[in-house]
Amino acid sequence: MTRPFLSRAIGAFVLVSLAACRPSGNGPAGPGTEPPETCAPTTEAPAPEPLHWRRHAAFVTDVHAALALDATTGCRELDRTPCGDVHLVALGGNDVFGAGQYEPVARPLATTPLVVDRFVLGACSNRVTLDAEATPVVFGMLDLAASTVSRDDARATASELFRRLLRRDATNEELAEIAELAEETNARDFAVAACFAIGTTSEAVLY
Amino acid sequence: MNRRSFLRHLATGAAAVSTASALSLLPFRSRAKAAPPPGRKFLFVISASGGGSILDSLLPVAASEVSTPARAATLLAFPDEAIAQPTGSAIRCVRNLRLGGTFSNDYDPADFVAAHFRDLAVVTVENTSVNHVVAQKRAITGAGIDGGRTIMEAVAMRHGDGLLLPNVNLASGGYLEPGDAPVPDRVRGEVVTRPELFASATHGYRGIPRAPSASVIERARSARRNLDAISPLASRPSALRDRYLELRDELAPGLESADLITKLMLLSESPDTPLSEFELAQSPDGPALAAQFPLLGVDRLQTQAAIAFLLVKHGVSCSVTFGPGFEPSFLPDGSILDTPIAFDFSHNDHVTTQNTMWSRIFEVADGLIRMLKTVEYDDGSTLWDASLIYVATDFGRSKERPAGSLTFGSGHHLNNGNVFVSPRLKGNRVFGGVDPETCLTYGFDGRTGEPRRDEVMREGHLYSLVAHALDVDFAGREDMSGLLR
Repeated sequence: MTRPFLSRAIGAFVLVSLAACRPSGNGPAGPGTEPPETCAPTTEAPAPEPLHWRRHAAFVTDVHAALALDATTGCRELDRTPCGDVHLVALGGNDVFGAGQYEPVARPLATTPLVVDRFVLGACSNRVTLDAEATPVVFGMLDLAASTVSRDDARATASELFRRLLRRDATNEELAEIAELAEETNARDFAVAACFAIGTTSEAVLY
Repeated sequence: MNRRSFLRHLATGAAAVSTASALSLLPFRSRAKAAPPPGRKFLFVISASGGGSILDSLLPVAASEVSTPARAATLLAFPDEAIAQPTGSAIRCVRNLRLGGTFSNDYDPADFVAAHFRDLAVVTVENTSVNHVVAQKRAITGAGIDGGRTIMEAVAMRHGDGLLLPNVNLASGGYLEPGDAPVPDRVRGEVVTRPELFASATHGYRGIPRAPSASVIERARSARRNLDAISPLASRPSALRDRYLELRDELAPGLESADLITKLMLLSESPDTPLSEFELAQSPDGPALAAQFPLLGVDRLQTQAAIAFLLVKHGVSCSVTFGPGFEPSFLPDGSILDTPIAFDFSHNDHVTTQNTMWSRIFEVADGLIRMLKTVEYDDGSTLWDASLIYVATDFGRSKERPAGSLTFGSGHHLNNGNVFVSPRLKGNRVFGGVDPETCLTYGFDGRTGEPRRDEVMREGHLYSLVAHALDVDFAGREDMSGLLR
């Protein structure tokens, strides 16, 4: 490669680079135009979103698995229709056949937190009822007919629920927070409240 | 209980309401007061999914208008007796042809025209896509004339301040899609696919079987907020989490305290939907809605129209979109109200499909308008005076048929027209026209409304018309002042 060719190539590269730095809207750069003073972008690219929405199928499956329930024993509107079916779209699913909705909504809807509450509350209430009526599956450390709950039983229940619903161990601070729900509450209400509080945290909905 | 069985029980409940007695109350009861703040405008988009042909509804060509019977026999032209023109109306329509068969619907479009011709405008258009989803999206974005936002989003931005759910969308396919322009999340469509049970989505715990008392749940919610504050996720900046917590801790209490779970409740008390057993109750508007929409709960379209009315009446929304989807509505006796895949069943049987589906569209539009007229709003007028119905559709259908055939399939065609209903428009007018020799529509001058055979109207004109009528301004809006009252 000859020296004149190299110098022309370097010159062209510099011009192209300068043109790429120019803010948009000032027209194309060319010979004779002044180079911009800085190449800083006019707007910063947003940071990548670190979390994902645990959408319908995953959310329903995870809650049911955590509480050993299924569509017939989990949350049902009016005790008749599975909440997961009724609130499919707000929970992040998409209704392909009914609405021709080929992609789910991009972000949670206004009603999403409320249907999350309904879904988890229905599931927790049903699990507690089932455990009170037969051999307990989730709430074995509580006497669900009792009018009070000891602090130790409350912490043990919270620990079990964190493992089941969030798949991790709770911190002492988190156990203390849930144990406070046991104050002036009977065992059944405490069980549902603890399950609901943990199962509807943002950590249960996002990952 | 499966979905159809559940809906059947809802129908039984709805039928239990004395239709006659509820109807008799309507003319005599004083107008209810609307909840939305004054000065708002309301948009209802009814999506005629699949390709609603204007030639088969409000811009028909009579066979006698074509130069020869032989040519008429090859075009989408109707026998003169199939076309109605109610007294006083400048707009004609194809009657309910009562073709019988599988699809049952008695509503006659001629009744719609007779009742609403003063507010009725037919606007010709030539769309830009014959792909359903693309065309549907363009029908609501004006093919991008407003930077890609949908007309529903634009109306929600203009009139939705302070409303809980400014933009609710119950439609399907491309009509359900969000716009392509960045807009605040609050004006994105709240997608609803089960209107009969949507009320339940507006409260986090009321009606949940075997749930503890409200005070216990509120304590649990308080604990949840504390858990979230110390969660491992709290240390990771996340717009998604911020948005979720904002919805949960700021918007949701408003939805709950508005008691929408009662105001929007379309179910009625019955052995199969024992609302009182779960401390729920039917909407106070339930009997009047059941009278206007007798198949409430069974007929998806009627149920959508009912919830659309309630959302606006109670000041929840300023834009509601609904329409038939892919699934037809079945009656408990097994008969079918809609053709499958709505207007697109025209591929199989054009005349039956178009006639059935247009009757369906006009039936629910009629019911919605009548309900809106019962509600006082803004200094003595009614909600209807501040409303506009845009019957959006994908495109038209092919204009020709096998010579003399009465049963045939049709294809997609760009050339068409749309139906608008609003007291804010110059009603009783066809803007543009149709050439009987080709069955192709032609355009008009938006500033004067006068027909222009050399003018081609596009989706952007339709979008601009809605925007203009509802006080929505944007750069590049077409001047449609000639169509405004």
